[in-house]
Amino acid sequence: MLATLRYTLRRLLLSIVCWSGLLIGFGVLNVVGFDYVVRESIDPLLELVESLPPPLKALVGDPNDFITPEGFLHAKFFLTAPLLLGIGGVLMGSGLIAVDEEKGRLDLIAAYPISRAGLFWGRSTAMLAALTVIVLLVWVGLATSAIATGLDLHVGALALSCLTLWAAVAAFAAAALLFSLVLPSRILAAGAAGSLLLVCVIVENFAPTMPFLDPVAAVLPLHFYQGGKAMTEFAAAPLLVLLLMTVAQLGVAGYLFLRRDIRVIGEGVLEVRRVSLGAAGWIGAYALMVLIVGAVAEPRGVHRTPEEAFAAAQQAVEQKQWDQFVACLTPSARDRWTGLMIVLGELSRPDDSPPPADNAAWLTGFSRSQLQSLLKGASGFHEAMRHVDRAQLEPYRDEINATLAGGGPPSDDTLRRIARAAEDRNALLRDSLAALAKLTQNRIEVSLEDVEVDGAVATGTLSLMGTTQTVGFQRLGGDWKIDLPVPGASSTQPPQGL
Amino acid sequence: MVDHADSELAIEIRGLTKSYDALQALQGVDLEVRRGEVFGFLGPNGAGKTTTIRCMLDLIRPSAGSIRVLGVDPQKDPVKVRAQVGYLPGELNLDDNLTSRGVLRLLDTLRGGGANWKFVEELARRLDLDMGRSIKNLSKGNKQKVGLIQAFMHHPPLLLLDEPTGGLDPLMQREVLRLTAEARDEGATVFFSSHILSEVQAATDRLAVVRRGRIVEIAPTQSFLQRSLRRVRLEFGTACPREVLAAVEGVKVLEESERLHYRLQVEGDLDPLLKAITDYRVKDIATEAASLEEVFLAYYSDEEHAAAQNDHRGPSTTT
Repeated sequence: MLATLRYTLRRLLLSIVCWSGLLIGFGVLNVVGFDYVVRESIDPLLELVESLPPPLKALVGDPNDFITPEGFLHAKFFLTAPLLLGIGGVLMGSGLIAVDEEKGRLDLIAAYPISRAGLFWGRSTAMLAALTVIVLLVWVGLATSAIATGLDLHVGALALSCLTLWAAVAAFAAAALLFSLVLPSRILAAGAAGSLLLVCVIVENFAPTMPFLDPVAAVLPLHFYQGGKAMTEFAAAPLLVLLLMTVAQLGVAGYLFLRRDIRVIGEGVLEVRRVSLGAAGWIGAYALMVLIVGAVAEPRGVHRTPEEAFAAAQQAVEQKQWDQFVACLTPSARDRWTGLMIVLGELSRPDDSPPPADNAAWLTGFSRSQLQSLLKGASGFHEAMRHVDRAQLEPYRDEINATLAGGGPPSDDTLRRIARAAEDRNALLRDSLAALAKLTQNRIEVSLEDVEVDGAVATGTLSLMGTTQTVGFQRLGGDWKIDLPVPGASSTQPPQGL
Repeated sequence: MVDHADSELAIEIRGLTKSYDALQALQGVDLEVRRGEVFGFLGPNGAGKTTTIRCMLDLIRPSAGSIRVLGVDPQKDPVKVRAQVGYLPGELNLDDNLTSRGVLRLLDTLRGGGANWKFVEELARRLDLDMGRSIKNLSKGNKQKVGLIQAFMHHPPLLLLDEPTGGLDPLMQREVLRLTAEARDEGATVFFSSHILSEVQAATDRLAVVRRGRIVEIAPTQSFLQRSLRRVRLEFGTACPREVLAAVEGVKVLEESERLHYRLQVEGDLDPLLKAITDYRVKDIATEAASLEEVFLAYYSDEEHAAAQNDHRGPSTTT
């Protein structure tokens, strides 16, 4: 088996060089491109996305997902990489055994004292090793260029993304190998596996705007590919699904190879029995995958309905997992809440002189001084404000003061502009919510009712401590998110006696 | 459990059948090859020669029947069988990106190493092969030489050679036959599959004739040659009707000209023919012994005829 592995790896050397070169070039371009595309124009980009109609916005996805280095690499590199390297994997897998059969070379090699199992697993291991080397080189290329350009990427987290890329490509390569053992020619096998890859990419891309594609997307391999998202919210279960799928397909392919005849030139016969067996094996591998998904491996962070998004947010609050709570919000809601937190932070700064009017009742019913006193108990709240570049708040200082003095909640637009002062909006929101949560140990009863879905948007009624409020939902990138209004918004009926 | 490892037979095949959907490639092949003999496996293209060899190496799986190669069932222990076999495929294809030496080194590695490279160099010299050249730059004949070297280089106890002289010039064909004889002299068994009768005639001790997936005859090569099959040319002074000649047992009219000139194929004694033509004036008679090729072709011609009448005729065996 070792001799087979070494020989196959040597034959794959050119593929390794070509595919890793292509991917590294593409990746480095994206790393360098982040500066030009995003860093210079985050706010116009966000405004542009915000101005899009809901269906287009759903297609674009969460803009926060691409204004960060991780999000940008995910959108620009890791979403394309499975297609690019997938083609390489499909060519490798389909040719691993079939090419030698078609050229008549396997007849001689298989007549040497090596077992069929040794031959198959030697070659399969070499294929996986070649993909590993390619992905490893891509990781080195991305990490090196990120370090060189000062891009704030954690190389360990980047490795996780590369790992998920490897798993996705390995799954398609294994499918191509399996197809090559049941179809009469390598070309047909590559065509079938390549088509599957293409269908996966298309479905995965269009599912966010076409809900009827959801059930299809949910059982396709790319659904379990995390790509750049693994850098921020890696989940082991989807990776496990891809790995299991690869192993299952290789297992079926190995079983077929052990039982079938070695073909020689011109014996490209389509055997219905073998095709049926292969198809059954492939469907079996898929069924296994779907079962696992159904049981344990639902990809994290994907909510297929508004109710799922709400339940996830509720669970995140109960478990005090504020990262996950923030991830459940629409970009607008995140900005709105970030702006609010900054306003709260400014309001409660102990070193500042009191604003002209002691009027913060719009928010909680507390007076400003009471709020200031209360927030002293929220240890970590002021530390969370370290993410605010206060110099950037200066242009909004009047608006903040006016808001405090005006007795009403800031508008969404105001809050969004205030939020721009935060260097890392998600981190600020996460940390400040975590600090505020320390103020109460009581469980807050919240429920969602009367959800109405209209394409990529939905509305529902939120009941919170005796108040009701209309809450919006948006479907972004196939994922429902909550457009949560800040307390004191116009639709809120203010609580009495708080 | 019977231990077959010490069996006198190098190859033992019983009722071997191989079907590809509707096509019956082998239809109950029975074959015994003794250790230390050069055994010819003769048949036209598509007769089932390669299929039989590939079954012996477990490259393809029989639909029915049993095989033992050097006492081992190739389906149960294919690695053990292959470890003792040097195989030259009928359609040889090698990795174009390697040199001849690279291919031989790779194949040696697959066998676990241990090839005697002095012997390999000697084989290359005898076959006039430059081992430093890339496979993609080699002619078909030179590739065939690489194939022959890889088959012989480990001194295997059994050589399965499928059309070994294909693509070689006559000088090299003779060298291959010499290598085969040397291997036999060293104790190896050689299974020599070919459709070229002259080389089978020159190289083999016994041969089997295969036709349409069936063994139709197994016999010592010499007995094929010694068959009293001959060609007879007759020139009559008076016209002799064709029916007179055709009615004689063992006589087949091959050519006729104006009932005066005949070319016949006669199997067996000439006496019945001579008695049948006593009423006609014979101006000249000439006879010649048939070559193996003619025997074979005549055999096939008969077989075609017989096959039309009875497609289930069993093999006859002469030892």
